[in-house]
Amino acid sequence: MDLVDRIETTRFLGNEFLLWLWFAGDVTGGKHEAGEHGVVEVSLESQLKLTDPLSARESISMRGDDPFGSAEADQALKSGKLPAKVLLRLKQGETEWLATLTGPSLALSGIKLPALLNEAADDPLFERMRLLEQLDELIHELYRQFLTVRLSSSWAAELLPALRQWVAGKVTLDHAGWMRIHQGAKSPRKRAARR
Amino acid sequence: MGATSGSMSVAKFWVEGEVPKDPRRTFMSRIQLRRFRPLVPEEDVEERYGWCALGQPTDLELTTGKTFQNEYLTLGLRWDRYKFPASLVNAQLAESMQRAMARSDKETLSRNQKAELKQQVLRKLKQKYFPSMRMVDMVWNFDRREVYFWSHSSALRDRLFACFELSFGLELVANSPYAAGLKLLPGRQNQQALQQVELEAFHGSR
Repeated sequence: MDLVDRIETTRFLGNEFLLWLWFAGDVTGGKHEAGEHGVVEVSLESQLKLTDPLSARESISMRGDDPFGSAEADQALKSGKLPAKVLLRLKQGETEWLATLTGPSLALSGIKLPALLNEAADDPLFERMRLLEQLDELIHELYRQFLTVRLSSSWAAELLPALRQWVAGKVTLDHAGWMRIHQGAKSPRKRAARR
Repeated sequence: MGATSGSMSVAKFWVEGEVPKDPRRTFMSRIQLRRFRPLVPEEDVEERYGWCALGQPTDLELTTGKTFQNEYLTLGLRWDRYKFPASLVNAQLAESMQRAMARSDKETLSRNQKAELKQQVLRKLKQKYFPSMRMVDMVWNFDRREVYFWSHSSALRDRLFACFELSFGLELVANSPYAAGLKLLPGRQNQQALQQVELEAFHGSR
């Protein structure tokens, strides 16, 4: 399988990442320990698109106050659809971003950066780039955390059953359990290095 | 909307390959070679793309000061093309063919004659109308080996890939769950795990 095929056949990981963020919102209130970035608060906002990962044409899009708590979203998850595009609010300390994240491509659109510290600067490029790169780092750090668990044995043993229960309507994992799974999960590479 | 103002929609790429130690000196002349050159109606060229100054589609005077800013290389990718509605081209071509057949007193034209007439029609249309112009900002952070491009259009992305590779001799890899996984969790075991991962079903009873 060449690189292009691998990229195309693993795009579902982006959908699963969005599902993981959604689940984390219910379990941890959206608070993530993001390594050197400190605590990052993630909330899913007024825009949600769900697709069937096996057939992207099968999709449902919702906008409103709380599409994630809607009966339509619940039904779509129960019928096998996964989130494909969400509006995210990320908060790190006093700094806050708003952006639409498309799972299968990890593409960002409609990004609203925090207010610039120096609005009067002749060339806002540097500050805008710093804030954009910071947002990108945060999202990739969250994705790294998801992927570390996704590729570990904790996925099949603990997180996947909890996710299935949640999709069925039961939250069986608490904050402490979430932290234990994510802090305990080591990527295959790290496990091998420790042997 | 671009790198210096407005809300942002950006595509991210990783730069693959060895960046020279002194990119300013190495790259500036190569950027000049791929600078955008406006279309000329007399040319048999339907489209052209190349570099312009960041956020300034008409600024083609690319200098080191404009292009290199601290750790960033900043450019705009400008893409001009003549794009006429098929109905307009077909109507003008039909008229031209009618005239040509009347002049030669024939009822049909050869394939070559039709092709020649079509080129004449297109040349006349190019004299009458301006090409459409698109410009997208691109910012390359040398330290992070990352490129941001202010468009998600696949047509523009294809042109960025071509122009970037021709200008810098380096490849761009688009961000994706797989590409990001390789960057974030390097190592052979992670790569193997990533290659074997399969879609899970989260719904239904099990």
